[in-house]
Amino acid sequence: MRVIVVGAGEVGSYIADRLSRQGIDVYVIERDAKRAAHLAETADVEVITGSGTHPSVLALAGVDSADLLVAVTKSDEVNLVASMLAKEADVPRTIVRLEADELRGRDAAGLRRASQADLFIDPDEETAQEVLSLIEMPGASEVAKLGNGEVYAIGARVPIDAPIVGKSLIEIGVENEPEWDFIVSTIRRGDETVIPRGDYTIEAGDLVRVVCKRSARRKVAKLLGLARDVPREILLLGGGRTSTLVAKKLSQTGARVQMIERDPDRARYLAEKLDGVRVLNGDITDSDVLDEADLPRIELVAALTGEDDANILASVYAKSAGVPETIAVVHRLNFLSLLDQVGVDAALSPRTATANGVLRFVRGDVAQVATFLQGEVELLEFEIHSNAQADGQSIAELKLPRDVLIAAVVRDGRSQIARGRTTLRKGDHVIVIAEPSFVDSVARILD
Amino acid sequence: MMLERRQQSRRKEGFTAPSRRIPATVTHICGLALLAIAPGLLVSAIVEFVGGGDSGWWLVACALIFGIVGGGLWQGTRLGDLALRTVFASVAWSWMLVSVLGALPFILARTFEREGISRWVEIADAVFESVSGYTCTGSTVLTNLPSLNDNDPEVGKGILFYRQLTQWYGGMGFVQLVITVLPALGSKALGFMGAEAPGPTADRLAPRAADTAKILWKLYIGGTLAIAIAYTAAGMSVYDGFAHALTTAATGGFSTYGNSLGEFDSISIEVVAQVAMLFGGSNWALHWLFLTKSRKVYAQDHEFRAYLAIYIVCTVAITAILTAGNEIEGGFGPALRSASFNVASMASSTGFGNAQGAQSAGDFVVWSSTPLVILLLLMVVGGMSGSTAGGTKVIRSRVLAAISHRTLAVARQPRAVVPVKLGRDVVPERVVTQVSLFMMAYSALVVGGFMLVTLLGGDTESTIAGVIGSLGNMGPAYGDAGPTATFQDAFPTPARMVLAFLMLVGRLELFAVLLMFAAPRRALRRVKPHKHTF
Amino acid sequence: MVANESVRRSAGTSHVLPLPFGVGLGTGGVCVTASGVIGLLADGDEFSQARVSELILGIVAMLAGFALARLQSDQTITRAAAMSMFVAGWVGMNAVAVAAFWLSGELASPLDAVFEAVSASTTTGYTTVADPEQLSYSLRFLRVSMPWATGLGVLLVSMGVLPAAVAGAELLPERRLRGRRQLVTTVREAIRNILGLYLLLTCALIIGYLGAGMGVFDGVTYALSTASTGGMANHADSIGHFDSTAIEWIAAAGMVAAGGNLLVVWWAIRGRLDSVWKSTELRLYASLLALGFLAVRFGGSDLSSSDAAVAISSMLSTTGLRSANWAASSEFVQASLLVAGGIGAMSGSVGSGFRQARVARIALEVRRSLQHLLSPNRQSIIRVDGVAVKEESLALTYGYLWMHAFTLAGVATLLYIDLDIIGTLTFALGLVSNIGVLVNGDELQSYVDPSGWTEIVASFGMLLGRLSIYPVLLTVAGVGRWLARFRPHRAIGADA
Repeated sequence: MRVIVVGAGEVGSYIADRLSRQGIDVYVIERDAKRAAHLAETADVEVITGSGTHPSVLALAGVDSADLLVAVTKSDEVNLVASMLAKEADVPRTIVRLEADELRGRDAAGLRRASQADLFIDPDEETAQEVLSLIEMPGASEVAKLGNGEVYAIGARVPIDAPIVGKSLIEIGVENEPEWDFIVSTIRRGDETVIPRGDYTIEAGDLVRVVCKRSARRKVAKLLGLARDVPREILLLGGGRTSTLVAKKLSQTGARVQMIERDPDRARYLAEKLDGVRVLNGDITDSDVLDEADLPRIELVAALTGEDDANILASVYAKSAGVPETIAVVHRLNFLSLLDQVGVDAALSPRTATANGVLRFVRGDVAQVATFLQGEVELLEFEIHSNAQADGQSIAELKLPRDVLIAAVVRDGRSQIARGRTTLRKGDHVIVIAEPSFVDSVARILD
Repeated sequence: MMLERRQQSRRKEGFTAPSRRIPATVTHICGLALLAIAPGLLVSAIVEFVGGGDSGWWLVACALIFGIVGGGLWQGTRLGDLALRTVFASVAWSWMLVSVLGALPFILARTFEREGISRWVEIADAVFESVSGYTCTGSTVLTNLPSLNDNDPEVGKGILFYRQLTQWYGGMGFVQLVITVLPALGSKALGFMGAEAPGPTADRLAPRAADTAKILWKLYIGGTLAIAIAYTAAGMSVYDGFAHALTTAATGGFSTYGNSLGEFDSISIEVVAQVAMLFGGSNWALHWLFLTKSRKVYAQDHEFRAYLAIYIVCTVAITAILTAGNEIEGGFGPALRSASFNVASMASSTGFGNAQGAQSAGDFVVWSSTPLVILLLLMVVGGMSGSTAGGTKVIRSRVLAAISHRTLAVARQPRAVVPVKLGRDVVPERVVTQVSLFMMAYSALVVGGFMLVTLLGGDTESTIAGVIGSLGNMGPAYGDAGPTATFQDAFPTPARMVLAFLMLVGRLELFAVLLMFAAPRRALRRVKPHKHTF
Repeated sequence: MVANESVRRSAGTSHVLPLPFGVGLGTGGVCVTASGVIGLLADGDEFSQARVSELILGIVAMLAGFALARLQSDQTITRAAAMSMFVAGWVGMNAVAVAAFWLSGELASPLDAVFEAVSASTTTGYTTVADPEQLSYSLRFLRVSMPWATGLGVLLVSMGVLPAAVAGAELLPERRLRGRRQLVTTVREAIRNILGLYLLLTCALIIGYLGAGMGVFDGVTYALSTASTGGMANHADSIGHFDSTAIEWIAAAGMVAAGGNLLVVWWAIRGRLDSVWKSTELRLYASLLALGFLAVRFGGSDLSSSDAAVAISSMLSTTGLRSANWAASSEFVQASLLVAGGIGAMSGSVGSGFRQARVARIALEVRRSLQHLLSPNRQSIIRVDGVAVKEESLALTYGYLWMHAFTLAGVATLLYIDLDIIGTLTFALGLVSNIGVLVNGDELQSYVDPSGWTEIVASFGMLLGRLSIYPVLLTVAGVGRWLARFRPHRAIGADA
């Protein structure tokens, strides 16, 4: 399989690296020579310096035999042109990153059709959606939605007073009989992630991921020790596009949203554009500015600027001033493991948000993929086709590898948590937890 | 935008020496405005002849004078300099000239002749009446207005019809009228409209300003006819219907009867009048859009919603107070009738009364103080921008409320960025400042006028409403100048002259008139080639 | 560890309120105790039981108040909290006073007690007592000691000693405030200077009044009333009761001083007349005093010079002491005095009203805008006291102007009282400007006989005026926000 990635920015580099680790041939096209050189050094990919809008450059990347082109530069126009050129060269599938609202709207439908791209992605939008999921589930450090929103995967570091601490999975199962609406899918302790068996006992400080039905998400939150009200006083740091998208959505729900933006003109623009959002003009690392937002009253702070250090610093300050919940966007993942120790409850990265969308396409037959910042496991959603091996078999009969877990099945839009006796049928969507290296074997069985 | 363009035109003028004479533009516009009055006088003359009055020839004579003088000024000059201050000056001077000269028919016909007053006081009365007419105010000093069954009225029907016509002219503004025949104004026409149009902005209904003015005049004539028909259908005679339609569409408030609309004592006429007053007091551009574009424009317009809300809330409040305090005989029904009528009359700055005589139900001067305070505030707020109504306009009050809200928010969070918004629309900072300044100048004029009029002998109660009412082109005031009385009893002649001046200032929204006095002197002395010209 | 601390500190702004509430309670307690003592000494036996209960109330309030005031909070004080603190302090003070007024049994209803206490503590001066001479000595003293205490608090705020988060912050002479040779160098010294000046004025007035022939009790109470611009009087005719030209001139001088900016007074005492004369606000104040005096004296009235001086200084300083019934003189005199009352005192004084500094700024702004219309390219800067005023602080002034106007209009509309229109308007003006007189036909009076509804509206109006609108509104908004937490709201539609 051959994939061409246009643009070696944050998103492009991450996707390229991720794909190449899966054994896919990746060609990256980057205009900036320095950045190209850097990527070539850090990832096992072929980097071509040049513009993705030039057919000659694309030819150099072997566009004739490519299976997928991912155009993720910062420029919508470049991405669109790259996609058009790729389609000219008979690339079966293309993914285009598109940011301008004007191009994403209904008016630009014709243009999008002309570009023939199969998927349009917007990293900011994806990040915003992830932030909103986290806000909806306060206390969680990861929230993913699969199966058309019917299945939730909630990850959280369990506090000492959580009801499930000190219990084995069997005990937890017994306590919650006869309803069977969630399953503990992975546990990360220290640097190790495992798919636990029934005798595994949960300890405080574990990062527990639970897959559950949509209807059970509150109950799971309670079990994980996250039982809190959805916050209504929210402070967003930074007035970038992600922040704007989050603010718009939040203010529609009746939450009181404040936003801090450093650039006076941008602040003015935001204040005029966003209805019902209070915009403050100031630097988020200035404690006076944060105090002015009335921190003791704030229930959640989301730091969404492009600067990791500012985001983390502001989150830590907010936490110390009594804000119960902080979310920070981080772009470099080196210090990720330290964050929850200093008071950042949830961290997310725009690149993983986007990568989820791209990976789904790379796999082709997978309906959805969720990856996480910590740990190597992925959540995958497969659809069972009519001629698949799994059609008509129960899960116990499937003989899956040990490190693969079928967590849930969505049938006709209704979800259920998988058990050994659950029989799979064609048309079912199956939520699977697996390490990337097992993905192929799982796909073989389920497809 | 306008401002930039003006600055550019200034720079172009850099080399030419400034004129020391009265700019030709001013005389040109004034001439046209005078000329525009002549047809109205002729119509009044016909009414006078038909109605059997004895002043018909005076009206014809006035028509001739206006026609000749106006035509002469118009043809004898050409449009000259169109700088901002000239635009303002021409608008202000033409209003001044027309409203003062408009007293000529009254003076010649000896309308204000009374026992024991000198000829000069009579002239002053005539001027007051004329100014009150052209500015759409509706305060009157005419004490011998007839009643409905008066077979031998002291004042002829034609003169009274001319009196009604003055308000009709003033309602839409004769500068608007002039613009329609002056294509040479081009881009400057909007500046003229802005100098005269009530409200902070002049809307464009057509790409060309002259076409916009034409549309508005057509709409105005159509609206007046519709109101006249409605009045006639509600039981007025054709003459009364037309005479009152003229002042209703213009939200002026002159009536041909001493008791105003109360003379008819008819609920149907009062209902028609209420709807028509509210119609006149709302933005005429909205009416046009309603007819041509979309049926939803009223519901979508923030100012209109606020305007209607003010009307409803005030009506409910006053009705409740009048009913609870048993202030009007007959309880709820008559209370609602008087309250809604007077609120509509004040909210649209018309000034019609529905009282059948002094001390009767609709005579609000005998109401308790709270309804009076509410009516006083209505006088301050007035109608919508772009209407024929006066007052400081609903939209300005809304902007002020938004400013207050912003101040409060910034007091709590000094770094908060809070744009002034009306609904979802952001009000540009420039407009916010202008509105603030306008209201400051307005407050200063209210305070100054209040002191001056009391110094000249008005009593506090009549004066406070008289000054606010004059600035807002309202009509009746409180105390001795209530809806069933005239300004004759309440204010001495000098005080009335001050009020007349305030009416002009209010009709032209302060700045045009204030500049009229400041601009020529300074401008002629100080203008010199701008540095950047070279 | 982090979690523990956050739990403790996330208690919200309610945490900072006990301190100011305690201070208010304690201050009210001191006033009530002092009144009780005076009552025990001066009032006859028939009152003694009420006095004892008053004493107990005062002492309990004092102890409770100062106990509360010892509660310290390490929480950062946000501006919203600072404003609520003023309201809390004021509420604390009034709680005691209302109880004292009501316990005395000398007022007709509990709402009368509220109205009387609010009127006194906001330095307004309206009263529901037709003949104050019938009141016990104790209550008469309470009616003037409360405004005196408020006056001190107002001075501390307006001189920037207490957090200047309240309205009027834009009027504080920021740059000069903390410079050398100024009134405020350190907080301790500032408090000493302010208290010293305030005491000095009060003592001078006491001596003056005594010298001019008042009795000891009247002398002290009128001095307190004058120095604090409270305007509460022991007689239905206010100082007109004494019919003494000397007393009238002393009162006029005292009111002029009380309505003047303390910083300017300080300069004047220090002999720094150049600084004094540079003050734009002072020049406006002086001109308005002079013009007002001329207008009142020669504008068609039969008032004597001393009466005219009392009338204009009483209105400009928003005190409300009366020596003659100017409501019966010419309309122009009335108009001038009402306008003066609307403008009010200088900033940085105990007086209230819209304030001279703001009027000066607005006048300069209107002038600038006219200039701007004539020459659009001109860049002009507004200077007050020779210092350029920041545009943002000008914007605050305009915003305040409209808030003030809306408040006045709102209070005037909501009052439901048996007065004519001029009476209602002057009552509303007197409430919001904390003057305490109204024109009722041909009568000038401080006595009102309001309904319960009107008493509530009026109390709120006086409070708005005295605390410069912002703190009250923001506190109300804060309570509203707090209540809004209990409102159900839609789930975040992230999966929509």
